[in-house]
Amino acid sequence: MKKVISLVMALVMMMAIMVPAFAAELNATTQSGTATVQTDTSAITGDGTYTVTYPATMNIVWSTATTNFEYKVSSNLRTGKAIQVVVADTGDGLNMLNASNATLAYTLGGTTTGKTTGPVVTDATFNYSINVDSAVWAAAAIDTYSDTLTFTSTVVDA
Amino acid sequence: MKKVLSLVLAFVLMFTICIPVFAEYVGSTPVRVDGSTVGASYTVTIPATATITWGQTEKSVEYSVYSQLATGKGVKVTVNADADGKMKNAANTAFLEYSLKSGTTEYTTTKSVILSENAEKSSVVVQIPTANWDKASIDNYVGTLTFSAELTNI
Amino acid sequence: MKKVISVVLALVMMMAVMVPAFAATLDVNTQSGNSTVLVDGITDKGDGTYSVEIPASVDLIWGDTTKAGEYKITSQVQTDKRVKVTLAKAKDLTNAANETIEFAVADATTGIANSAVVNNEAHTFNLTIDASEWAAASIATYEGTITFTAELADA
Repeated sequence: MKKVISLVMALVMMMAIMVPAFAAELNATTQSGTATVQTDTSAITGDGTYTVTYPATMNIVWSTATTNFEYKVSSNLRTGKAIQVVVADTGDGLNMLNASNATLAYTLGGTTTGKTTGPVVTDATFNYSINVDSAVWAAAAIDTYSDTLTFTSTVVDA
Repeated sequence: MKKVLSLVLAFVLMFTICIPVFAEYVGSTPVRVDGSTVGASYTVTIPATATITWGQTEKSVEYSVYSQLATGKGVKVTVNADADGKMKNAANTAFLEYSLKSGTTEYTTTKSVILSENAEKSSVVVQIPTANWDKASIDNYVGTLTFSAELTNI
Repeated sequence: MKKVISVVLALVMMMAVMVPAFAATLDVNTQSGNSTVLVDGITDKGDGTYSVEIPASVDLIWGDTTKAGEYKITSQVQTDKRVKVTLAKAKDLTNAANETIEFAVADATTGIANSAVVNNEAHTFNLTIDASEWAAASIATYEGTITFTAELADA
């Protein structure tokens, strides 16, 4: 019978302690200390997020001089940023046309260039209007007229 | 044969450890140590920094305590947030409100003597509700947790 | 005194229903979008409106072989429609003794507005009476009737 001598070397390994490398200590002499809490935005790309909601179609009832509409902005951007929205003609003039290209002229009023007050807003509302002169209504054949406006959003400095 | 040998060995061993009959009693001497002047010591290890990912609603900040105190004494650790409850950006123009979870802002050790390798651990939980994240502009915010330690009866 | 015939067609109007407009959105990935400005006049106004101002009377002088008259059209109707007025003699010039002097409506018996939207657009017509009619008529007061009929016609 052989005696087996087993020598077991117990290796006392210091476990990798889940404590930040730069810890501070309190003791009987130093009874108060501070730890810094900080946010990590490394996963966030760009300037943040936003949504502009505007009407897909703006219906104008015949003979109405002024029709009011609105667009809304919600945003969560970096500090110091804001959203600017511009409502504009597509370049063919502020005229609604019918199928035979007869025109119904109109103008835009209100806030056609809107800018939020800060980087974080919820449903910030901007009002604008479409105006048609009574003389224009009186001279227009009864028909369906339409035109296109463009909404453009940009992240700008607040 | 083996048995006889064993008995003989046992007797020999008895003689080697018996007190000689001829010894006489002198008196008794107390052995004592006076710990009253020995300073209590404890160490609370707190992290210098705790990082919270944007949008994280709770962050556990761990700290540990070891001590050698007088009998019946323990260490009480108290954690406080910024007085106004706000983390701030570098320019002090934007804020992120936070709080410390109730029940996690105090810890008292359970023993007077706690070895460093068996340090008692506790955590304070930083809370930032989603609504607070949603109100904050995207920025780097910093807040300060103040840890205070004192001796207490346990 | 002028008579004005105003014909307001029964408009079958869709009740203006407060249908919420569909919203469009912009965001970081979609920074520009279009919106349509729309006037649906046919739904709002149907066929539109028009009126025809006709003379209260056409006064002849004994022996007139022609007499001109005028009516006016005012309209705001659909693009591809026009107001059409048709004149007809309803009754020859007739006196108390039922004796008649024949006349005819001419130049023109129909008038069509130039466009869908007109304002007091004047159209002329003529009454013609043959000289022989006058020669054969006893001296009296005669009265006849012409009718004006208005309708919408395709342009």
